[in-house]
Amino acid sequence: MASRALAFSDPEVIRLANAAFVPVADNVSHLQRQKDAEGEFFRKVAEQGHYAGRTIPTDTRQGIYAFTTDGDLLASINTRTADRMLEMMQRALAAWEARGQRQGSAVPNEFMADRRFDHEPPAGGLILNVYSRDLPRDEPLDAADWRARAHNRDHAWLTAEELSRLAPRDPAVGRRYPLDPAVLRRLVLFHLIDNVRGEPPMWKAANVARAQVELVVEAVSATEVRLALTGEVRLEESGVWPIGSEGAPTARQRGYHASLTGRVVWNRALGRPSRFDLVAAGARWGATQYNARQDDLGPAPLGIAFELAGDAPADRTPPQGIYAGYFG
Amino acid sequence: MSQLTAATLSPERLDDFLAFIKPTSEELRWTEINWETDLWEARKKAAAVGKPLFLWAMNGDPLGCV
Repeated sequence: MASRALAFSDPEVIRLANAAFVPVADNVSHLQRQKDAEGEFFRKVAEQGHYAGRTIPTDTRQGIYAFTTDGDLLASINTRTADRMLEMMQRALAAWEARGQRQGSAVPNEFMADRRFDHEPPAGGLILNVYSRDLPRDEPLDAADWRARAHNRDHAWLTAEELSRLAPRDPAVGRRYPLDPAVLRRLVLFHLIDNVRGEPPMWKAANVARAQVELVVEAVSATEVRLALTGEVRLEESGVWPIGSEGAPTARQRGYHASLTGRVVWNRALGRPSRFDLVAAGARWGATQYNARQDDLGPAPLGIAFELAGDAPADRTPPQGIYAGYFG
Repeated sequence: MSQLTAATLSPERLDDFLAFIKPTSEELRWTEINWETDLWEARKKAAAVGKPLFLWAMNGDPLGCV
């Protein structure tokens, strides 16, 4: 997350990445474990790099790698700073020049992929961008502190069947109906989470003290149906877990109480929304091991926003919760 | 932007909340890099265009929630 804000936002890094390389972003947790040609190719590259052979403190091969299509490493680094990133890129290009800009041109078109890590959006469904950010506080953090500017992103997926139930077949102004239970469950458990600074566990059904979202038909025309969404969630968990760098688990609590407001503009000809905006706003408290809230237990205000995703390849990135029973 | 709280969330203020929570154009500058999302497809493209690869590999998807 910090890398996005720092190194990869540098104008020269952006220019060089686009001009001199084929840039690609992928999940190293998958690449390290894939039992297929792609995983083998990555591991060949990584074992020439900055974490080659490492097992302590972890065996991660997280980082940035520049390499040829043959899998010959040109340079690698794990950094969040633009100047070190640029130095690595320039080292890589010097190595590229030294080998006469030569690399293999024969790459097999297909391979037997390890399907454990393949996730595509449901055909005919809906993809939403999801954003999280702390809302303004009475006593704001120092603006120079990265945590004051922290935010995160994710994607939410709806199936084609769930999408078809988002708007009523016979809309009448004033008609009220609940949000589809499966969609409500998914939004609440997997997306109303405090991931502003890191990655917490998803909620469980037992943590849901209250979850209710209602839609109301506000306007109907020959071409569209306008819907308003309102709702409330109360999520609470008590248990024993470590936070931050503490080793031993201790008694902890976390929670999020929020109101929800939104709007949908349903295109009747297309049978899908031309607009979907939803906001959750409320108080969060507590910390989990990997969400960097150990010094910010709250309660403090948190906002989460949903909107229609676009058509870029990055918009097809699977939800964070895809491995945690996302579709039930 | 003041008074963005659960108590002030309303249909009339929805756009204010969306504008605050969503990333700014400055915060989205990293998306100006033409990220491929599949290493093998990127490898094929690199072979076709004669350029080396530049891989951003993170625990979690770098283009998603991290």
